Amino acid sequence: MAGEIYRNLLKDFRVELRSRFAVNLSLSFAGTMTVTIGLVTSGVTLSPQITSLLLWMIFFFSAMNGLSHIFVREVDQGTFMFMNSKIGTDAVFLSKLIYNSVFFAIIQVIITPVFVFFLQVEVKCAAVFVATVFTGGLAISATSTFLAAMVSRAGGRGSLFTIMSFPLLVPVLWSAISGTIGSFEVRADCGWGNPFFLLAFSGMIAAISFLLFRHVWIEE
Amino acid sequence: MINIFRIVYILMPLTVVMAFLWAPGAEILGDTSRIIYFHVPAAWASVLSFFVAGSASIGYLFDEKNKRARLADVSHNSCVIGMVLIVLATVTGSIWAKMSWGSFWNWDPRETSIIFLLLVYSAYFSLRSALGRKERGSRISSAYLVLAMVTVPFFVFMVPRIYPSLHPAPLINPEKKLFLEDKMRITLAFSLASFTLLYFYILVLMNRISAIEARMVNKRNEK
Amino acid sequence: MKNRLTGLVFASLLLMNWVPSAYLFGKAPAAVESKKTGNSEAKDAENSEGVLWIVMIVVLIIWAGLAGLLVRIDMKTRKIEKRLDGR
Repeated sequence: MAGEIYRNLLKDFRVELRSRFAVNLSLSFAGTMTVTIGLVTSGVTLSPQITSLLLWMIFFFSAMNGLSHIFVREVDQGTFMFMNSKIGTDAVFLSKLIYNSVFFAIIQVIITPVFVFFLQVEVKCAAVFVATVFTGGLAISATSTFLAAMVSRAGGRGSLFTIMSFPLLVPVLWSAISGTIGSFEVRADCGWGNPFFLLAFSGMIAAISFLLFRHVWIEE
Repeated sequence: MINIFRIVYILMPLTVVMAFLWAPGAEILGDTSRIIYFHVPAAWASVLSFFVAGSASIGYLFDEKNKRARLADVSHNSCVIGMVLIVLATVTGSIWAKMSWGSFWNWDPRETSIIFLLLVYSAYFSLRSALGRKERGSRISSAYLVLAMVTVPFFVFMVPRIYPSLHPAPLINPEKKLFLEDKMRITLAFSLASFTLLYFYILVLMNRISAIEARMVNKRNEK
Repeated sequence: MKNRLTGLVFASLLLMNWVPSAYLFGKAPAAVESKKTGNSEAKDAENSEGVLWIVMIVVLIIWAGLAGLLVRIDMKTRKIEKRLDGR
Protein backbone atom coordinates (compact mmCIF):
# COMPACT_ATOMS: atom_id res chain seq x y z
CA MET A 1 0.00 0.00 0.00
CA ALA A 2 2.88 2.40 0.76
CA GLY A 3 4.01 2.04 -2.84
CA GLU A 4 0.54 2.85 -4.15
CA ILE A 5 0.29 5.91 -1.90
CA TYR A 6 3.70 7.14 -3.02
CA ARG A 7 2.94 6.67 -6.73
CA ASN A 8 -0.44 8.37 -6.49
CA LEU A 9 1.09 11.24 -4.50
CA LEU A 10 3.80 11.70 -7.10
CA LYS A 11 1.20 11.69 -9.86
CA ASP A 12 -0.90 14.32 -8.08
CA PHE A 13 2.06 16.60 -7.49
CA ARG A 14 3.19 16.21 -11.11
CA VAL A 15 -0.27 17.00 -12.46
CA GLU A 16 -0.58 19.99 -10.16
CA LEU A 17 2.87 21.24 -11.13
CA ARG A 18 1.88 21.00 -14.77
CA SER A 19 -1.45 22.79 -14.51
CA ARG A 20 -0.88 24.79 -11.32
CA PHE A 21 -4.64 25.36 -11.17
CA ALA A 22 -5.36 24.85 -7.47
CA VAL A 23 -2.15 26.43 -6.23
CA ASN A 24 -2.72 29.52 -8.38
CA LEU A 25 -6.30 29.81 -7.22
CA SER A 26 -5.49 29.49 -3.51
CA LEU A 27 -2.36 31.62 -3.57
CA SER A 28 -3.94 34.37 -5.68
CA PHE A 29 -6.95 34.52 -3.44
CA ALA A 30 -4.94 34.52 -0.22
CA GLY A 31 -2.44 37.03 -1.60
CA THR A 32 -5.15 39.36 -2.89
CA MET A 33 -7.03 39.25 0.39
CA THR A 34 -3.90 39.89 2.43
CA VAL A 35 -2.85 42.85 0.32
CA THR A 36 -6.39 44.27 0.31
CA ILE A 37 -6.64 44.03 4.09
CA GLY A 38 -3.17 45.56 4.44
CA LEU A 39 -4.18 48.41 2.15
CA VAL A 40 -7.47 49.09 3.87
CA THR A 41 -5.96 49.04 7.35
CA SER A 42 -2.70 50.74 6.32
CA GLY A 43 -0.92 51.94 9.43
CA VAL A 44 -3.77 51.09 11.78
CA THR A 45 -2.81 48.60 14.48
CA LEU A 46 -5.48 45.98 14.70
CA SER A 47 -6.26 44.15 17.91
CA PRO A 48 -4.96 40.56 18.26
CA GLN A 49 -8.57 39.32 17.98
CA ILE A 50 -9.24 40.99 14.64
CA THR A 51 -5.81 40.08 13.25
CA SER A 52 -6.28 36.38 14.13
CA LEU A 53 -9.78 36.40 12.71
CA LEU A 54 -8.59 37.90 9.43
CA LEU A 55 -5.71 35.45 9.14
CA TRP A 56 -7.98 32.42 9.62
CA MET A 57 -10.68 33.78 7.32
CA ILE A 58 -8.02 34.03 4.61
CA PHE A 59 -6.87 30.47 5.33
CA PHE A 60 -10.42 29.16 5.40
CA PHE A 61 -11.44 30.65 2.06
CA SER A 62 -8.15 29.67 0.43
CA ALA A 63 -8.88 26.13 1.54
CA MET A 64 -12.40 26.35 0.12
CA ASN A 65 -10.96 27.49 -3.20
CA GLY A 66 -8.22 24.92 -3.51
CA LEU A 67 -8.73 21.78 -1.45
CA SER A 68 -11.67 20.29 -3.32
CA HIS A 69 -9.76 20.29 -6.58
CA ILE A 70 -7.89 17.06 -5.88
CA PHE A 71 -11.07 14.97 -6.16
CA VAL A 72 -13.09 17.14 -8.51
CA ARG A 73 -10.26 16.91 -11.05
CA GLU A 74 -10.37 13.11 -10.99
CA VAL A 75 -14.11 13.11 -11.72
CA ASP A 76 -13.93 15.90 -14.31
CA GLN A 77 -11.09 14.30 -16.25
CA GLY A 78 -12.72 10.88 -15.99
CA THR A 79 -9.66 9.34 -14.35
CA PHE A 80 -11.29 8.20 -11.14
CA MET A 81 -12.51 4.85 -12.53
CA PHE A 82 -9.02 4.06 -13.76
CA MET A 83 -7.55 5.13 -10.43
CA ASN A 84 -10.01 2.93 -8.53
CA SER A 85 -9.13 -0.07 -10.63
CA LYS A 86 -5.40 0.41 -10.11
CA ILE A 87 -5.18 1.63 -6.52
CA GLY A 88 -6.95 0.46 -3.38
CA THR A 89 -9.54 2.79 -1.81
CA ASP A 90 -7.51 3.20 1.37
CA ALA A 91 -4.44 4.19 -0.62
CA VAL A 92 -6.50 6.71 -2.61
CA PHE A 93 -7.74 8.38 0.56
CA LEU A 94 -4.34 8.45 2.29
CA SER A 95 -2.55 9.82 -0.76
CA LYS A 96 -5.16 12.56 -1.23
CA LEU A 97 -5.03 13.40 2.48
CA ILE A 98 -1.26 13.70 2.44
CA TYR A 99 -1.41 15.72 -0.77
CA ASN A 100 -3.96 18.18 0.64
CA SER A 101 -2.04 18.54 3.91
CA VAL A 102 1.23 19.29 2.09
CA PHE A 103 -0.50 21.56 -0.42
CA PHE A 104 -2.19 23.61 2.29
CA ALA A 105 0.97 23.73 4.39
CA ILE A 106 2.76 25.26 1.39
CA ILE A 107 0.00 27.86 1.01
CA GLN A 108 0.28 28.70 4.70
CA VAL A 109 4.09 28.91 4.60
CA ILE A 110 3.84 31.46 1.77
CA ILE A 111 0.90 33.49 3.03
CA THR A 112 1.71 33.72 6.75
CA PRO A 113 4.92 35.79 6.43
CA VAL A 114 3.22 38.00 3.82
CA PHE A 115 0.34 38.56 6.24
CA VAL A 116 2.67 39.28 9.16
CA PHE A 117 4.66 41.67 6.97
CA PHE A 118 1.78 43.66 5.47
CA LEU A 119 -0.24 43.95 8.64
CA GLN A 120 2.84 44.50 10.80
CA VAL A 121 1.79 41.86 13.27
CA GLU A 122 3.79 41.41 16.44
CA VAL A 123 4.05 37.77 17.31
CA LYS A 124 4.87 37.37 21.00
CA CYS A 125 4.94 33.55 21.19
CA ALA A 126 6.42 32.40 17.89
CA ALA A 127 6.41 28.70 18.78
CA VAL A 128 2.70 28.70 19.61
CA PHE A 129 1.93 30.75 16.51
CA VAL A 130 3.74 28.34 14.18
CA ALA A 131 2.25 25.31 15.95
CA THR A 132 -1.28 26.73 15.75
CA VAL A 133 -0.96 27.63 12.07
CA PHE A 134 0.47 24.22 11.22
CA THR A 135 -1.99 22.14 13.26
CA GLY A 136 -4.92 24.31 12.16
CA GLY A 137 -3.91 23.69 8.56
CA LEU A 138 -3.73 19.96 9.23
CA ALA A 139 -7.21 19.97 10.74
CA ILE A 140 -8.64 21.93 7.80
CA SER A 141 -6.98 19.58 5.30
CA ALA A 142 -8.17 16.45 7.12
CA THR A 143 -11.79 17.64 7.17
CA SER A 144 -11.74 19.12 3.66
CA THR A 145 -10.28 16.01 2.01
CA PHE A 146 -13.21 13.80 2.93
CA LEU A 147 -15.75 16.50 2.14
CA ALA A 148 -14.08 17.10 -1.23
CA ALA A 149 -14.62 13.44 -2.08
CA MET A 150 -18.31 13.82 -1.23
CA VAL A 151 -18.69 17.00 -3.24
CA SER A 152 -16.97 15.48 -6.28
CA ARG A 153 -19.44 12.55 -6.19
CA ALA A 154 -22.33 14.98 -5.78
CA GLY A 155 -21.25 16.78 -8.93
CA GLY A 156 -21.31 19.97 -6.93
CA ARG A 157 -18.90 22.84 -7.20
CA GLY A 158 -17.73 25.76 -5.15
CA SER A 159 -20.52 26.74 -2.82
CA LEU A 160 -21.65 23.22 -1.86
CA PHE A 161 -18.16 22.47 -0.59
CA THR A 162 -18.11 25.66 1.49
CA ILE A 163 -21.62 25.05 2.86
CA MET A 164 -20.68 21.54 3.94
CA SER A 165 -17.26 22.44 5.30
CA PHE A 166 -18.10 25.46 7.39
CA PRO A 167 -20.13 23.79 10.19
CA LEU A 168 -17.52 21.05 10.59
CA LEU A 169 -14.65 23.52 10.56
CA VAL A 170 -16.16 25.86 13.15
CA PRO A 171 -14.47 24.03 16.07
CA VAL A 172 -11.19 24.17 14.15
CA LEU A 173 -11.52 27.89 13.43
CA TRP A 174 -12.63 28.61 16.98
CA SER A 175 -9.60 26.87 18.44
CA ALA A 176 -7.15 28.15 15.83
CA ILE A 177 -8.27 31.76 16.28
CA SER A 178 -8.06 31.37 20.04
CA GLY A 179 -4.55 29.91 19.79
CA THR A 180 -3.40 32.64 17.42
CA ILE A 181 -4.75 35.36 19.73
CA GLY A 182 -2.75 33.71 22.52
CA SER A 183 0.42 33.93 20.47
CA PHE A 184 -0.15 37.64 19.75
CA GLU A 185 -0.71 38.57 23.38
CA VAL A 186 1.72 38.55 26.26
CA ARG A 187 0.63 35.60 28.37
CA ALA A 188 2.31 33.20 30.79
CA ASP A 189 1.12 30.02 29.07
CA CYS A 190 0.81 31.30 25.47
CA GLY A 191 -2.14 28.96 24.90
CA TRP A 192 -0.48 25.62 24.04
CA GLY A 193 -3.77 23.80 24.59
CA ASN A 194 -5.12 24.89 21.23
CA PRO A 195 -2.44 23.34 18.98
CA PHE A 196 -2.82 20.08 20.91
CA PHE A 197 -6.58 20.18 20.46
CA LEU A 198 -6.18 20.86 16.74
CA LEU A 199 -3.76 17.97 16.39
CA ALA A 200 -6.15 15.65 18.20
CA PHE A 201 -9.05 16.90 16.08
CA SER A 202 -7.15 16.25 12.82
CA GLY A 203 -6.28 12.75 13.99
CA MET A 204 -9.86 11.99 14.91
CA ILE A 205 -11.32 13.36 11.66
CA ALA A 206 -8.69 11.57 9.56
CA ALA A 207 -9.44 8.27 11.32
CA ILE A 208 -13.20 8.57 10.85
CA SER A 209 -12.83 9.73 7.25
CA PHE A 210 -10.56 6.73 6.58
CA LEU A 211 -13.30 4.37 7.84
CA LEU A 212 -16.07 6.10 5.87
CA PHE A 213 -14.22 6.83 2.63
CA ARG A 214 -15.06 3.59 0.84
CA HIS A 215 -18.80 4.27 1.30
CA VAL A 216 -18.42 7.61 -0.45
CA TRP A 217 -15.94 6.73 -3.17
CA ILE A 218 -16.93 3.32 -4.43
CA GLU A 219 -19.90 2.91 -6.78
CA GLU A 220 -22.15 0.13 -5.46
CA MET B 1 -43.83 -0.61 19.63
CA ILE B 2 -45.67 2.44 18.38
CA ASN B 3 -48.29 1.97 21.14
CA ILE B 4 -45.91 3.23 23.81
CA PHE B 5 -45.44 6.50 21.93
CA ARG B 6 -49.19 7.10 21.89
CA ILE B 7 -48.88 7.89 25.61
CA VAL B 8 -47.92 11.34 24.37
CA TYR B 9 -51.64 12.01 23.72
CA ILE B 10 -52.11 12.09 27.50
CA LEU B 11 -48.67 13.23 28.58
CA MET B 12 -48.45 16.38 26.46
CA PRO B 13 -51.69 18.04 27.61
CA LEU B 14 -50.81 17.09 31.18
CA THR B 15 -47.43 18.76 30.72
CA VAL B 16 -49.06 21.91 29.32
CA VAL B 17 -51.41 22.12 32.32
CA MET B 18 -48.54 21.57 34.73
CA ALA B 19 -46.39 24.14 32.94
CA PHE B 20 -49.02 26.86 33.15
CA LEU B 21 -50.86 26.12 36.38
CA TRP B 22 -49.01 23.73 38.67
CA ALA B 23 -45.36 24.77 38.46
CA PRO B 24 -44.63 28.10 40.13
CA GLY B 25 -42.93 30.98 38.37
CA ALA B 26 -39.21 31.33 39.04
CA GLU B 27 -37.94 33.73 41.71
CA ILE B 28 -36.73 36.65 39.65
CA LEU B 29 -38.14 35.94 36.21
CA GLY B 30 -41.64 35.09 37.41
CA ASP B 31 -44.09 33.65 34.88
CA THR B 32 -41.68 34.29 32.00
CA SER B 33 -39.62 31.35 33.23
CA ARG B 34 -42.39 28.99 32.06
CA ILE B 35 -40.76 29.15 28.66
CA ILE B 36 -38.25 26.64 30.06
CA TYR B 37 -40.84 23.88 29.59
CA PHE B 38 -40.87 24.50 25.82
CA HIS B 39 -37.36 25.68 25.07
CA VAL B 40 -35.28 23.09 26.94
CA PRO B 41 -37.16 19.99 25.69
CA ALA B 42 -37.10 21.31 22.11
CA ALA B 43 -33.33 21.80 22.31
CA TRP B 44 -32.85 18.39 23.91
CA ALA B 45 -35.04 16.67 21.30
CA SER B 46 -33.17 18.37 18.46
CA VAL B 47 -29.82 17.05 19.72
CA LEU B 48 -31.39 13.62 20.29
CA SER B 49 -32.73 13.59 16.72
CA PHE B 50 -29.28 14.45 15.47
CA PHE B 51 -27.72 11.53 17.32
CA VAL B 52 -30.46 9.18 16.17
CA ALA B 53 -29.81 10.31 12.57
CA GLY B 54 -26.06 9.74 13.03
CA SER B 55 -26.55 6.31 14.61
CA ALA B 56 -28.99 5.25 11.89
CA SER B 57 -26.43 6.42 9.32
CA ILE B 58 -23.74 4.24 10.93
CA GLY B 59 -26.12 1.27 10.89
CA TYR B 60 -26.92 1.92 7.24
CA LEU B 61 -23.32 2.37 6.10
CA PHE B 62 -21.93 -0.70 7.86
CA ASP B 63 -24.81 -2.95 6.88
CA GLU B 64 -22.89 -5.44 4.72
CA LYS B 65 -25.83 -7.74 4.02
CA ASN B 66 -28.14 -4.87 3.03
CA LYS B 67 -30.71 -5.87 5.63
CA ARG B 68 -31.22 -2.39 6.95
CA ALA B 69 -31.74 -0.34 3.80
CA ARG B 70 -34.57 1.59 5.46
CA LEU B 71 -32.12 3.14 7.94
CA ALA B 72 -31.25 5.80 5.34
CA ASP B 73 -34.87 6.97 5.49
CA VAL B 74 -34.82 6.85 9.30
CA SER B 75 -31.80 9.10 9.33
CA HIS B 76 -33.32 11.53 6.83
CA ASN B 77 -36.67 11.69 8.65
CA SER B 78 -34.87 12.26 11.95
CA CYS B 79 -33.02 15.19 10.38
CA VAL B 80 -36.28 16.71 9.13
CA ILE B 81 -37.80 16.57 12.62
CA GLY B 82 -34.55 17.78 14.14
CA MET B 83 -34.53 20.79 11.86
CA VAL B 84 -38.01 21.83 12.99
CA LEU B 85 -37.04 21.34 16.63
CA ILE B 86 -33.86 23.35 16.20
CA VAL B 87 -35.80 26.28 14.73
CA LEU B 88 -38.21 25.96 17.65
CA ALA B 89 -35.40 25.92 20.20
CA THR B 90 -33.65 28.87 18.56
CA VAL B 91 -36.74 31.07 18.47
CA THR B 92 -37.91 30.25 22.00
CA GLY B 93 -34.32 30.67 23.21
CA SER B 94 -34.07 34.09 21.56
CA ILE B 95 -37.33 35.16 23.17
CA TRP B 96 -36.08 34.01 26.55
CA ALA B 97 -32.74 35.75 25.96
CA LYS B 98 -34.55 39.03 25.28
CA MET B 99 -36.54 38.64 28.49
CA SER B 100 -33.55 37.66 30.64
CA TRP B 101 -30.55 39.42 29.12
CA GLY B 102 -32.14 42.29 27.20
CA SER B 103 -31.24 41.26 23.63
CA PHE B 104 -32.39 38.53 21.26
CA TRP B 105 -28.91 37.32 20.34
CA ASN B 106 -25.69 37.55 22.34
CA TRP B 107 -23.38 35.01 20.66
CA ASP B 108 -23.39 33.13 23.90
CA PRO B 109 -21.53 29.75 23.50
CA ARG B 110 -24.77 27.80 23.94
CA GLU B 111 -26.64 30.00 21.46
CA THR B 112 -23.75 29.57 19.04
CA SER B 113 -23.84 25.79 19.46
CA ILE B 114 -27.49 25.66 18.40
CA ILE B 115 -26.75 27.74 15.31
CA PHE B 116 -23.89 25.41 14.51
CA LEU B 117 -26.29 22.44 14.67
CA LEU B 118 -28.67 24.36 12.38
CA LEU B 119 -25.83 24.85 9.89
CA VAL B 120 -25.00 21.15 9.96
CA TYR B 121 -28.62 20.25 9.21
CA SER B 122 -28.76 22.84 6.39
CA ALA B 123 -25.56 21.46 4.88
CA TYR B 124 -26.97 17.94 5.08
CA PHE B 125 -30.14 18.98 3.24
CA SER B 126 -28.09 20.85 0.60
CA LEU B 127 -25.99 17.75 0.04
CA ARG B 128 -29.03 15.52 -0.06
CA SER B 129 -30.77 17.66 -2.69
CA ALA B 130 -27.58 17.74 -4.77
CA LEU B 131 -27.31 13.94 -4.60
CA GLY B 132 -30.93 12.90 -5.03
CA ARG B 133 -32.50 9.91 -3.31
CA LYS B 134 -30.58 7.13 -5.05
CA GLU B 135 -28.55 4.54 -3.15
CA ARG B 136 -25.30 6.42 -3.68
CA GLY B 137 -26.88 9.69 -2.50
CA SER B 138 -28.07 8.06 0.69
CA ARG B 139 -24.62 6.61 1.39
CA ILE B 140 -22.82 9.90 0.91
CA SER B 141 -25.26 11.98 2.95
CA SER B 142 -25.17 9.34 5.69
CA ALA B 143 -21.37 9.55 5.74
CA TYR B 144 -21.67 13.32 6.17
CA LEU B 145 -24.02 12.89 9.12
CA VAL B 146 -21.62 10.47 10.81
CA LEU B 147 -18.76 12.94 10.44
CA ALA B 148 -20.94 15.78 11.71
CA MET B 149 -22.07 13.67 14.67
CA VAL B 150 -18.46 13.35 15.76
CA THR B 151 -17.90 17.12 15.84
CA VAL B 152 -21.21 18.06 17.48
CA PRO B 153 -20.39 16.94 21.06
CA PHE B 154 -17.55 19.42 21.08
CA PHE B 155 -19.84 22.31 20.34
CA VAL B 156 -22.97 21.30 22.16
CA PHE B 157 -21.46 19.86 25.32
CA MET B 158 -17.86 21.02 25.74
CA VAL B 159 -17.71 24.65 24.60
CA PRO B 160 -20.57 25.95 26.81
CA ARG B 161 -18.77 24.45 29.81
CA ILE B 162 -15.32 25.75 28.93
CA TYR B 163 -16.15 29.33 28.03
CA PRO B 164 -18.12 31.70 30.29
CA SER B 165 -21.78 31.78 29.35
CA LEU B 166 -24.83 33.90 30.12
CA HIS B 167 -26.93 30.75 29.95
CA PRO B 168 -28.36 29.33 33.18
CA ALA B 169 -26.18 26.58 34.64
CA PRO B 170 -26.43 23.58 32.35
CA LEU B 171 -28.33 20.60 33.71
CA ILE B 172 -25.12 18.58 33.86
CA ASN B 173 -22.90 20.80 35.95
CA PRO B 174 -19.91 20.25 38.27
CA GLU B 175 -22.21 20.10 41.31
CA LYS B 176 -24.38 17.47 39.52
CA LYS B 177 -27.50 19.29 40.69
CA LEU B 178 -30.65 20.72 39.16
CA PHE B 179 -31.05 24.22 40.49
CA LEU B 180 -34.84 24.21 40.35
CA GLU B 181 -37.70 23.92 42.80
CA ASP B 182 -39.27 20.48 43.10
CA LYS B 183 -42.44 21.33 41.19
CA MET B 184 -40.45 22.94 38.40
CA ARG B 185 -38.13 19.96 38.27
CA ILE B 186 -41.04 17.50 37.95
CA THR B 187 -42.73 19.63 35.29
CA LEU B 188 -39.47 19.87 33.34
CA ALA B 189 -39.08 16.09 33.54
CA PHE B 190 -42.62 15.63 32.20
CA SER B 191 -41.92 18.13 29.47
CA LEU B 192 -38.72 16.38 28.43
CA ALA B 193 -40.52 13.03 28.37
CA SER B 194 -43.41 14.48 26.32
CA PHE B 195 -41.18 16.03 23.69
CA THR B 196 -39.03 12.90 23.47
CA LEU B 197 -42.09 10.70 23.00
CA LEU B 198 -43.53 13.14 20.48
CA TYR B 199 -40.28 13.11 18.51
CA PHE B 200 -40.17 9.30 18.41
CA TYR B 201 -43.87 9.08 17.53
CA ILE B 202 -43.52 11.47 14.58
CA LEU B 203 -40.32 9.65 13.53
CA VAL B 204 -42.04 6.25 13.54
CA LEU B 205 -44.96 7.64 11.52
CA MET B 206 -42.63 9.23 8.95
CA ASN B 207 -40.65 5.98 8.72
CA ARG B 208 -43.84 4.04 8.04
CA ILE B 209 -44.77 6.47 5.26
CA SER B 210 -41.26 6.14 3.75
CA ALA B 211 -41.56 2.34 3.88
CA ILE B 212 -44.94 2.54 2.09
CA GLU B 213 -43.43 4.82 -0.58
CA ALA B 214 -40.56 2.37 -1.09
CA ARG B 215 -42.92 -0.59 -1.39
CA MET B 216 -45.06 1.24 -3.94
CA VAL B 217 -41.99 2.16 -6.00
CA ASN B 218 -40.82 -1.49 -5.90
CA LYS B 219 -44.27 -2.67 -7.00
CA ARG B 220 -44.28 -0.19 -9.88
CA ASN B 221 -40.77 -1.28 -10.94
CA GLU B 222 -41.81 -4.96 -10.84
CA LYS B 223 -44.68 -4.25 -13.22
CA MET C 1 -49.76 12.76 1.62
CA LYS C 2 -46.44 12.78 3.41
CA ASN C 3 -45.45 16.33 2.59
CA ARG C 4 -48.84 17.89 3.27
CA LEU C 5 -49.55 16.10 6.52
CA THR C 6 -46.05 16.32 7.93
CA GLY C 7 -46.00 20.01 7.01
CA LEU C 8 -49.18 20.52 9.01
CA VAL C 9 -47.77 18.52 11.94
CA PHE C 10 -44.65 20.65 12.05
CA ALA C 11 -46.60 23.89 11.68
CA SER C 12 -48.80 22.87 14.62
CA LEU C 13 -45.76 21.94 16.69
CA LEU C 14 -44.17 25.30 16.03
CA LEU C 15 -47.38 27.16 16.81
CA MET C 16 -47.89 25.17 20.02
CA ASN C 17 -44.56 26.41 21.29
CA TRP C 18 -44.48 29.91 19.89
CA VAL C 19 -47.88 30.94 21.23
CA PRO C 20 -46.86 30.61 24.91
CA SER C 21 -43.46 32.06 24.13
CA ALA C 22 -45.03 35.12 22.52
CA TYR C 23 -47.42 35.55 25.45
CA LEU C 24 -44.65 35.22 28.03
CA PHE C 25 -42.52 37.62 26.03
CA GLY C 26 -45.32 40.16 25.91
CA LYS C 27 -45.81 39.77 29.64
CA ALA C 28 -42.18 40.37 30.54
CA PRO C 29 -42.13 44.21 30.64
CA ALA C 30 -45.32 44.32 32.77
CA ALA C 31 -43.89 41.80 35.23
CA VAL C 32 -40.68 43.77 35.57
CA GLU C 33 -42.56 47.07 35.91
CA SER C 34 -44.89 45.89 38.66
CA LYS C 35 -41.92 44.46 40.54
CA LYS C 36 -40.17 47.84 40.35
CA THR C 37 -43.14 49.94 41.43
CA GLY C 38 -44.56 47.33 43.83
CA ASN C 39 -48.01 48.65 42.91
CA SER C 40 -51.25 46.64 42.61
CA GLU C 41 -49.46 43.29 42.74
CA ALA C 42 -52.61 41.44 43.73
CA LYS C 43 -54.56 42.81 40.77
CA ASP C 44 -51.66 42.05 38.44
CA ALA C 45 -51.51 38.49 39.79
CA GLU C 46 -55.26 38.04 39.19
CA ASN C 47 -55.11 39.38 35.62
CA SER C 48 -52.03 37.34 34.95
CA GLU C 49 -53.66 34.10 36.07
CA GLY C 50 -56.67 34.73 33.89
CA VAL C 51 -54.54 35.34 30.81
CA LEU C 52 -52.40 32.32 31.71
CA TRP C 53 -55.54 30.17 31.61
CA ILE C 54 -56.47 31.57 28.19
CA VAL C 55 -53.01 30.93 26.77
CA MET C 56 -53.02 27.41 28.22
CA ILE C 57 -56.39 26.68 26.59
CA VAL C 58 -55.14 28.02 23.25
CA VAL C 59 -52.08 25.74 23.48
CA LEU C 60 -54.28 22.78 24.37
CA ILE C 61 -56.51 23.50 21.37
CA ILE C 62 -53.46 23.59 19.10
CA TRP C 63 -52.27 20.33 20.67
CA ALA C 64 -55.68 18.79 20.04
CA GLY C 65 -55.33 19.74 16.36
CA LEU C 66 -51.82 18.29 16.24
CA ALA C 67 -52.93 15.10 18.00
CA GLY C 68 -55.81 14.78 15.55
CA LEU C 69 -53.40 15.05 12.63
CA LEU C 70 -51.14 12.40 14.12
CA VAL C 71 -54.08 10.04 14.67
CA ARG C 72 -55.19 10.62 11.08
CA ILE C 73 -51.71 9.84 9.72
CA ASP C 74 -51.48 6.78 11.97
CA MET C 75 -54.79 5.37 10.78
CA LYS C 76 -54.23 6.21 7.12
CA THR C 77 -50.79 4.55 7.06
CA ARG C 78 -52.20 1.47 8.77
CA LYS C 79 -54.93 1.24 6.12
CA ILE C 80 -52.42 1.51 3.27
CA GLU C 81 -50.08 -1.02 4.90
CA LYS C 82 -52.94 -3.52 5.19
CA ARG C 83 -53.84 -2.93 1.54
CA LEU C 84 -50.24 -3.49 0.44
CA ASP C 85 -50.02 -6.63 2.56
CA GLY C 86 -53.07 -7.86 0.69
CA ARG C 87 -55.22 -8.10 3.82
